[in-house]
Amino acid sequence: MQALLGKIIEVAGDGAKHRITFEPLCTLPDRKAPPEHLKGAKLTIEREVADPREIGERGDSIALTVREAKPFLQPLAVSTIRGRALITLRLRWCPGDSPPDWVVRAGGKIRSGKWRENPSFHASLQATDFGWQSHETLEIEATCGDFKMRAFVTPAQEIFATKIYTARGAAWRLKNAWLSADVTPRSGGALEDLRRNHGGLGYFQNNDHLIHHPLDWGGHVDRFRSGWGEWNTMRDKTLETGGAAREGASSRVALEGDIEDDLRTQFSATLLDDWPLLLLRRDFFLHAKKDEKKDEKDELKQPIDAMRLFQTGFRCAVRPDQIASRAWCRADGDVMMFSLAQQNEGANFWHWTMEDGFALYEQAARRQWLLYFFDAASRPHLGLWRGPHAATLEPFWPGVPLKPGDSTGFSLGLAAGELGGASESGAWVACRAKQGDEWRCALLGRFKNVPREAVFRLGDNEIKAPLGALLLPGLGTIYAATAPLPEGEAHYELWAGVTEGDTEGDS
Amino acid sequence: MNLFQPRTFSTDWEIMVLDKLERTVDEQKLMAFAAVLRRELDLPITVDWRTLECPLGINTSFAQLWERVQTVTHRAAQILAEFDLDLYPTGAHPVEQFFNANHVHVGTLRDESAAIRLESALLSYTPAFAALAVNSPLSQGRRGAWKSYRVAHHAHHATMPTQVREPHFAQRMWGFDGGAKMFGGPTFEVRVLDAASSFRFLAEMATFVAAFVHHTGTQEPREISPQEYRDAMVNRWSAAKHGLQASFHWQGATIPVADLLRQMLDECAASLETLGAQRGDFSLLEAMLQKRVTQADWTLQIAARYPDPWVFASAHAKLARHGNVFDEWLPSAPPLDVLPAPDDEAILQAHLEAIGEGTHFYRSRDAMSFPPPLADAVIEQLVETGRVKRESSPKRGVTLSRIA
Repeated sequence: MQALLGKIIEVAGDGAKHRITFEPLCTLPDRKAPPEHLKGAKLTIEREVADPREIGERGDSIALTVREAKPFLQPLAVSTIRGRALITLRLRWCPGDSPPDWVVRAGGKIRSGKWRENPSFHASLQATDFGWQSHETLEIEATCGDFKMRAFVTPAQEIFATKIYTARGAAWRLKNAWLSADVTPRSGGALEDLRRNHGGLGYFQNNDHLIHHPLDWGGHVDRFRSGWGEWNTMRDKTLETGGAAREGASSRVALEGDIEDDLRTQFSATLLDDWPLLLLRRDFFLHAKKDEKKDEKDELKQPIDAMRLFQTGFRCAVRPDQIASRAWCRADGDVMMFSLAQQNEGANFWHWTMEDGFALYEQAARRQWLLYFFDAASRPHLGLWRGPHAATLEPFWPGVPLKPGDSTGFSLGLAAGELGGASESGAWVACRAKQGDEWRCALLGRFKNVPREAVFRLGDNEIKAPLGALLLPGLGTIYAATAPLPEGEAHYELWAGVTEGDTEGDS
Repeated sequence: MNLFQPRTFSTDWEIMVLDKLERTVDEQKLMAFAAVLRRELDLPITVDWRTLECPLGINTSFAQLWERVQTVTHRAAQILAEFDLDLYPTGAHPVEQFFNANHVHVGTLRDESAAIRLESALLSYTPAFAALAVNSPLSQGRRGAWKSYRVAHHAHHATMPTQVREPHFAQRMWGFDGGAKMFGGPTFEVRVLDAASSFRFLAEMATFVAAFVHHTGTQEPREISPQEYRDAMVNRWSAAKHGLQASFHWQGATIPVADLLRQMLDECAASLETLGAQRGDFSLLEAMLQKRVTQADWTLQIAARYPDPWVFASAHAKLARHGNVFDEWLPSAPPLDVLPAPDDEAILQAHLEAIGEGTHFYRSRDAMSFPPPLADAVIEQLVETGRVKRESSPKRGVTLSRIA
């Protein structure tokens, strides 16, 4: 997460405890200018150190922890709860002793008031005071002096697509009965949060107390590169335009923007209403450079001069699993598992490709499975990496030669489960959710020899459901089954599998 | 017999330079400062990967080297300060991927063939030097699994376990833990040493290493047996893992590396004297051996108070730039226990830790850098004892999967 780097103005104190006054220089880890509200500010923190030289002296830099920096980076916080009217404001820091009144604008109305201090500054409001009704989205703008924060009260209903504001800025939330997915325009369009609505941590949830680029340790980002160099995660590129809509039994957000002078990208995420399945689509468009320099125009050109090698891939980052962050895929006819043993170990299997269009990423200790579907006819290579705080699945496709006017891209399906399994037939994930008043379970998978049915067990009950084909654009056919759960048994641990011939597949 | 004539030595010290945004300054900029220092101090100061590389000239005595360590760091700090920059001397950057060394160059060689034989004679001793110099217990977000991540990870192939060479079949090589380097000043180069944070320790260590290499150059050449080579690889692993707490496999028994280093100091007393030094001059080194405490241990006790590697790097850099905070801390540092040398089971376990699922078998070589017959025997044992499954395919090669 983000922190601050400051330049020390004064260090006061003796013994172990020191009061450090500093001016903010930049944010960490990206070393960008501090937020507008911190420009020219003199900030103070207290630190206990064994040796005062650890702090340094006037003119030295000082790196703040995430916890130390948070009040300065996010002084004003607005909390809302989906479908509820309660809005909570918190003021974590202000320059003087008594903060200005808070002001909230929403639904064409303005409310303001004094902060209550117990022990920190806070205030509570009701969204209904701004005319909000539970099926609606309400955008809120809260201010306190120079501090401004936006938030949304999201609707109570099960399925929606709406713009939201998180601590990291604007995003879009897609939600159905099974999943909630946050799509950010940052990093060229990415998934920054994915969670099941009933139970468990977010799939991309990770350590919030250490300094890191958020999507590095949790999230789905698409990547590209030209040649041998590092993969470009579009980390510094925020897509300019985007919108979310409900359409035909699904919720969709689409984003578009320039990422280089001659390169434009589109990213869309679609959440199907009835399944724990996201459909992702990425396109890159290569244009002629807009402002080619005069001397470049006069150079003699051959077709190869305009060609650009373009490789694409994606990176799914999660917290490393205690057992193994394990990828399952089909290689050379066999369904195989791969995991890395050591910190900062990477493996790029460029000499073989993943067959049959799936990669299952398993975090078994915390019961999280992510199943990626891709076009079986366009097979990516498997890539993996494991660091101290993140493990990643990094499939990548062989490159293509692009010339201005060309485009390239890929489609992905992403199914999220509380269970997953793989066998020689293929791989699947399963999970449960409450749809209306009814608990249901679902299984989605990709299989070579298509099993007949999915089997779900809760407690002593076994439920079988036929697997049906879902033809998905850009991905081909996957198989899915869903069934209602017996009333009152949703709290049991779910077991699921598929029948293969007369036997049940591994899980 | 005396392979080194005249007896000279030096060290190439790789030091990171930080700006006030705590970024490491790149080579293009550092070249300007290297040029100023080269001109002013008449030393061949240059740059390496994100470091100011400070070769400390040709020295004939401990006093001369110590004087140069102080002069170079003092002047470098002065000219860098004009641009709001600070020296950050340490073995690895806690956040970035950079590893830094103190290569000790021991001269002056005349006979390359004899120097190649000397590689074998010194091969068993370089892990002891590594144990003394460990100073990279945090690297690229990782912490504490090794006292030298740099040695454990071969400094990105810049310090590789020494291969046994025979002069009649030898080609020009570079990058061994210890090896003959005849281009430029003809020296025997010990590369395995992590860059020092303590200026005084650097002078003491470099003089000791040089004296021991000089001393070995007076001994009849000897060949190394496969068992000794195996022991040296295990000891290298132990050195990187435990520093001065390590025990080494040594001549059919085990010995605490601190005791071995004391023996080495005794052995090279005459050579130390030639360099104008006595053991009494090495107060830091003696205290470290006594307590089995290294710069890595100093770094780790600071890091314990800074869970975030970015924040740790900021604090550590502030201390390391003084060059003497380790020296001040050492008298109050608690002594550390001797740890046992890894037995066969521990060796198997170390290899097992390098194996995930679908892991190419070469990864297991990273564990202890065993040559093929030894490494294959380890895999065979892991397979036979049911801890690893081995598969082979024309596309994927031989892969290993750990069985839970």
